[in-house]
Amino acid sequence: MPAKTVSRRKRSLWHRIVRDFIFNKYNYLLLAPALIYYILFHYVPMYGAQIAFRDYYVTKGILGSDWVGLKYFEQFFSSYYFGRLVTNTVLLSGLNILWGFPAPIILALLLNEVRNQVFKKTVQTITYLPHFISLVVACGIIIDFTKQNGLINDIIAFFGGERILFLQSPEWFRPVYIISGIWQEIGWGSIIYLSAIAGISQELYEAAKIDGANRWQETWHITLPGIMETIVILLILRVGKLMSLGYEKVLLLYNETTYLTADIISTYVYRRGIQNAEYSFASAVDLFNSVINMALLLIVNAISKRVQGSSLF
Amino acid sequence: MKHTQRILALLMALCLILVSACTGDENSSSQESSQQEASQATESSVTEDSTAPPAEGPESYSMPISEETITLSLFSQLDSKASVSIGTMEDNYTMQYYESISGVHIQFFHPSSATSIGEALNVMISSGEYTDLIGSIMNASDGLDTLIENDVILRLNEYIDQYGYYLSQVFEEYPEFYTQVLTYEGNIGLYPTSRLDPSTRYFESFVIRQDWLDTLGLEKPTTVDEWYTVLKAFATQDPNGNGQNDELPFVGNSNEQMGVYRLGSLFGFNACFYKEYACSILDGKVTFAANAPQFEDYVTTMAQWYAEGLLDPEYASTDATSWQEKVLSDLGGCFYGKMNGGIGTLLGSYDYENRDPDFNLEPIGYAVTEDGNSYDFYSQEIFDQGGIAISTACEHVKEAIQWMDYMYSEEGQIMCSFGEEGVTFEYDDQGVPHYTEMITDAENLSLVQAIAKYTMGGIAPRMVNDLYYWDAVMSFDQQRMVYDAVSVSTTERKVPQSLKYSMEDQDRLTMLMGDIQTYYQETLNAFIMGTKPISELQQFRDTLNSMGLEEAISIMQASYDSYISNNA
Repeated sequence: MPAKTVSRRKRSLWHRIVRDFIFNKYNYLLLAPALIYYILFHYVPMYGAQIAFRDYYVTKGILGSDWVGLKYFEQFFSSYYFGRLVTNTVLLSGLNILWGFPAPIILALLLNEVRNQVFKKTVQTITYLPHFISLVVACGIIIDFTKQNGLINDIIAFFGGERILFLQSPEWFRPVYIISGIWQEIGWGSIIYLSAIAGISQELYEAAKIDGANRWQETWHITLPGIMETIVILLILRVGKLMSLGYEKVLLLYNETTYLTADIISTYVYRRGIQNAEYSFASAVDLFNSVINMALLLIVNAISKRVQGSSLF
Repeated sequence: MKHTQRILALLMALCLILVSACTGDENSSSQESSQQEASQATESSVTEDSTAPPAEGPESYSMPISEETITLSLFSQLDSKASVSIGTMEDNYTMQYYESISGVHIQFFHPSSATSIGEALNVMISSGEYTDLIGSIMNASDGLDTLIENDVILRLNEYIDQYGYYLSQVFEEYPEFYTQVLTYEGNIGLYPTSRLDPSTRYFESFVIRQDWLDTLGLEKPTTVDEWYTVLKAFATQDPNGNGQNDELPFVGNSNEQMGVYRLGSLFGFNACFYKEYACSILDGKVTFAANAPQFEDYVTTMAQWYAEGLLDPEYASTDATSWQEKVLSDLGGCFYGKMNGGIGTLLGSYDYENRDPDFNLEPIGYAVTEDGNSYDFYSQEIFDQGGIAISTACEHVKEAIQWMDYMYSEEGQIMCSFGEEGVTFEYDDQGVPHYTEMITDAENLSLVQAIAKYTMGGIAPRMVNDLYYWDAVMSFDQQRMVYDAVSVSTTERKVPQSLKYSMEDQDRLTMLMGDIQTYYQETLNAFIMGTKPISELQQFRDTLNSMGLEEAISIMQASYDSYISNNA
């Protein structure tokens, strides 16, 4: 009887799930906070993403507002700033990865070679520190340092250079953003690589020494390949976030004079969505952003799978 | 024994839950019925109006409004002046006093100061659970007409005719106030806050270091040419006397309201985007700043001033705090500032002992343009663009109206700003109210903070910007000079604040102006800072038109035309 087998199979699956739960109850308990966080703050809000396809009015509610299809997407694609926003976002984020991604790897490799523990710990502490400064304060420091009579301009002037209005020059926005980003995150980012390096078997180094490898060759042929997997995974994750550059730091550093290079999709969404309360339009822009992000993640993942053999899924 | 105790405790807990669940139900059902009642009331009063002969005016009333104490909930932002000393306006002395005479208890709902008031309002509206009274209703993203249409708030026209004794009198006295308050659909959606006395409508102006002018033997500038002479003298003749040319003759900040954009008014047009989308009325036509004939002259002059160092080179990346610092450290010579937050605060916090003991700031009026007039774009209208709405959840509409209406009576106005006679204020021989020592000598609080702790002076939910309060908080004569300096200018080129749009027009306008704002502001800065040559002006105008500027302006023009015909 087919019906019987189905029900028996069902029961056995249910049993397996229950048994698995009982067996791993503490692991599931550990998982719960993260799971609840994602459901509450990432899955439930997806329901509201439909306002991108509606003429949303607060008083009418999500379901009560009229369905307008792709109206707001068309509005964004035909917007005067569509090209510039996408370019700025990709460039700022891409350059940030290009310069910012290798920095912690290099720091980790260098720290790995340091034999003086006191020096090593001091460097680590100093480089971690900026990560713990609140972004608003960090940006306040950046603004103070780059002012016309700030520290950096004082140094330039001391060597006979011309003072530069860093935060009012579009061509300086990206360097300021990226360099300060490296300053903020280099130490924190190097932790994961240091731990990956610690996982490399010491026997490999000993064998290399016996074969007569110098320190440089050890780094190049053992350490680097040893942490390659970590690097690739982190790179995939990073590229997957290419378009979702946080708006906070840009918002704190930009002004009208640097819109040319600094205005990115997320700041645009902030201005139009939060400040002008154009909720539907801003949702459409952000949804578009997320779709591109997802596509990028899949593409990079596929490339890595083919070339490297390592991938997220 | 222990076992039974545990069971008892459990049972009690269960009972509690059940009881609270029941009362919750009761509340919601009574809210629904009150909504029905309210809508019936509006309907019936509408029909009454259409059949009955013209009403003989609203009924007068006396305190208390309600014999039995009733409670109304009010959504209202807690002013920062009050939040330093009290956590809720329910602890405010005047609120308690008003409750004792009116029999109306106000239960305040203060949104967190971390979110903007508009966001907090939108959240409450979309939740569907409203307070009885909703303050700052103009900050909601949906307009008043939409809110009325969707049964969030009540249309108040008929209620005011019936119960709004004092407001009706004010409407009769100031007919333009009434038209300003009416929405596009002809609704009154709120109990409006107002600036009845003309002198309360002016509170900002250009401000100059008068002691620097005296040192250099110069007069206050009255034309653009004189402005140039003065700023140039500030830049080159070292008025702060430290031997360096480090003066920043005009300091602005990144907030366009306080920046270089304001200088457009010297040329007779409005360049500030936040103010009616950078539009002016030129020859009866709504004109965008970039299309104004004065615009070229303005950007050319600004670019020249910027190049010569007359404008703070960092104006676009200076925030409000460092902007104040520049004035307080004897660098800034001239700026645009508010009467209290600018002149009053700076004069009060300057370090006279260790710095220039002659430090003095005085307001200057708008410059006289070539046609012999000076133009004001920044004074306020009677209707303050704020007010309190009554939500459909309110069960005591009559009492709510009267509670707000009383604040429009003369005694009510004084009560709001000054509190209770004999406790927080006394009248002098001329009948002018003065704060008592309870407020003037309050410990650890500045004057305005103490006023906000004990009275509703200058803070919500008061209705009228009261002249006596206005006068009482000014500590310096220079603040009083603002009115004389600015009020002589004509407002004929100012776009009225109360232009009304239909829902569709408003949405379209916001949408079009979104990108235009970005483009206008960044290009204007580029012109001024010399990164874009002024020869590209025509291209700038063409691009603006391609972004839909003409359509946006025609929407505004239509609204302006009907505004003019309504007020004729």
